[in-house]
Amino acid sequence: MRFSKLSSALTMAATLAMSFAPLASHAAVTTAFGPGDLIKGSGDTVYYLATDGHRYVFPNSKTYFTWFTDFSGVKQIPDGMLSTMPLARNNVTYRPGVKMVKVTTDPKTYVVDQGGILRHVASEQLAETLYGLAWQSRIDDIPDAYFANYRVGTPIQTASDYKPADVTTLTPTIAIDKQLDNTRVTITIGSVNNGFVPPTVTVKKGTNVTWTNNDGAQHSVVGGWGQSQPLNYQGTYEHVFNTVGSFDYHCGIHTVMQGTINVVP
Amino acid sequence: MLKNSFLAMLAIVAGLGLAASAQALSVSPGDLLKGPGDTVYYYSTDGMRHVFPNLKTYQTWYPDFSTVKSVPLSELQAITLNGKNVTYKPGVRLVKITTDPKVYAVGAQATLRWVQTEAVATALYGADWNKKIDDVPDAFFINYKVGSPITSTGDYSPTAETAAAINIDTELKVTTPTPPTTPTATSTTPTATTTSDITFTTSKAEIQAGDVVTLIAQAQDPTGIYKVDLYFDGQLVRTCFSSSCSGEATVPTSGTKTSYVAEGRATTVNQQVLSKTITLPIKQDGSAKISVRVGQVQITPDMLASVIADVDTSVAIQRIDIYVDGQIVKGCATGARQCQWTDYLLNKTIGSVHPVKATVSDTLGRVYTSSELTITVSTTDAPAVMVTPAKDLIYTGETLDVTVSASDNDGITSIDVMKDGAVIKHCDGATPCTVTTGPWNTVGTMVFTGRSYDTKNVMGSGTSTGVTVTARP
Repeated sequence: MRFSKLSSALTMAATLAMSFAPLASHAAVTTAFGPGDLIKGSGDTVYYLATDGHRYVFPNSKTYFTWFTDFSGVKQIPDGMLSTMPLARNNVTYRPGVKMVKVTTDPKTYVVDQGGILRHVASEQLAETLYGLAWQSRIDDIPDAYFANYRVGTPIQTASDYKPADVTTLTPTIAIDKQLDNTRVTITIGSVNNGFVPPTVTVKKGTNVTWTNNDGAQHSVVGGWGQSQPLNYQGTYEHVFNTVGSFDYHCGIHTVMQGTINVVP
Repeated sequence: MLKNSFLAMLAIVAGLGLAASAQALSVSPGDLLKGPGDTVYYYSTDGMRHVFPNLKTYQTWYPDFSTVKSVPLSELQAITLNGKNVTYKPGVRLVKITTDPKVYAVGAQATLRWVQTEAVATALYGADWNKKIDDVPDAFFINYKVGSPITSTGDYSPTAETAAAINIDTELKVTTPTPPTTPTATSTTPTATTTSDITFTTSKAEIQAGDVVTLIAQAQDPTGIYKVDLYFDGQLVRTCFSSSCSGEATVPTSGTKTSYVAEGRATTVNQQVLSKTITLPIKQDGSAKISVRVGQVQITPDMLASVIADVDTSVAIQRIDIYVDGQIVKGCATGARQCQWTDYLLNKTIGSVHPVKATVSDTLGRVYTSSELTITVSTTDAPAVMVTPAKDLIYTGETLDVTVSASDNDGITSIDVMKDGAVIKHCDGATPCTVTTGPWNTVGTMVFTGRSYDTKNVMGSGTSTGVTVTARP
């Protein structure tokens, strides 16, 4: 079957032109941010900072609004810190269940399942069962170039295969959608100016904290619990925090680089 | 950024009036397609279409839109959209991800390789390398993978990378799904317009541990080529089901081999094997990357000996080691370009000669060794000579002050400032000798030397660190 709602290139241009509106109130730049936060630099792109220390890009505002209703939770951080953290190997995808999607030049309509899996809806009747009479207004066009963010799974044959409200409820956060391991937290080591990013991280007792050096120069991690060897570019060091408390640490080579791990029960 | 590049592409595509050429053509793999929209697709041999995410990506592969075929939407929709987008053609441009300050060169199969120093960027892409960088929007970073960094000019050749990227299919790593049928032994050979041959080249003639070598093989045979395999050190690097193939191999960082063998092996449709091998020796000499100076070439037993090692800016330093008499006497792991050792020699016998050298290992584990100097223990010492250029970097057309100072237990009688063996200034007495040199117009690195005689007429000499002459921006 073919849905009548075919988009034109103009729709696509319009979608992209509707970029992230700058935050209404220019909140101050902050260095108090951590895994799970929405962050941005001086540019307009918004990122989800995951526990793996990577930035996940929201490729467009439509994707953003499936997860959040406004930009009030976005923190602006220094550009240097933003660029220190590596980009993730995949982008944020639609929150499961919220909308159906269609690729600009592909006639198929899909529902979104956890992990950015697209599942073809086999008939109009089925689409109506899942999303009601106004199902056509619940379809977003994904630009062809962003099809790379998704994978195609098995088609939906009957209404019992997929319940939009249930998959939405079962996927409350991007971390769960991406199936990120919340018992591990990664901190990125940047240049002397940018330091440890994020500088302060709060973790639960028993969390494995991993430091990854993303700078060309050597750095190390020296804390009260022990210290790392000098780390080269892409070198890592990890420590499991089993005691509640606040732990300061610094780079053994550049002592101006300092950070704190807060361990909570 | 995202918005802008897309709009730019739309504007340009529309401006070329592609809509006018609405001829319905039969399309075949390798074609460029567009539908009623403005996005351009590559129709690959995997039978699917792949998106050019933006105009700049397109321009690395094609100079214009003249070969793009317009097809009706129905025809476009009949070809499955593949999620793997077309990426930059290797070697053509440098790229930067919008919010990542690193500059990357593009290697085979969408590999981004961080160009670690400006010196390497200049050597690979010229003095205006910073005008050859394109911004890739953050959202398209996922179309690439990150490979090993480029720490020296030998790691990467833009022209070789571009040459090895035969077409978009090789970059997308798609393979043709049709295996060939093996012909019967009696099949007649077609008129021999092609001969059976394989050409095999490597991006480097000499290698070092940690190097990435590109292997390129191209084969032809009257019956056709079934596949081409690339081997490095007996390991299969890549198999291509086409007549040409390119792949990358990394030289192991540990091991005692003095050479490695690379091989290109083609299998023809009638099961004949064509093979060529190249032996790549491990390069030992690193004197272009690291040099040593000694404080005084001749000392008395009660004097301190000193050695200074300087590393070229093209090396991403992990550690520097200074050797005296074959033993490591000092290791520097701070990342600084210079490492200095000062201490008494263990063996201070009059007349003993002590060889000194230094090694530097880079962040990939490659080790470069300097050429060797000696320190001689004698009853009388040679003057210690220090050569100090006022700057270590100048622009073309600028002059440079160079100061030579000397010290000696017996007293200094004269000091000379020298370049390329010629004395450019002679000073009597122990006062430091300064001269204004230049203007220097040739881009490159130059060193100055100094010479001094003490009252016993023993000569000492010294060499400056390298002074870089760079083109005025």
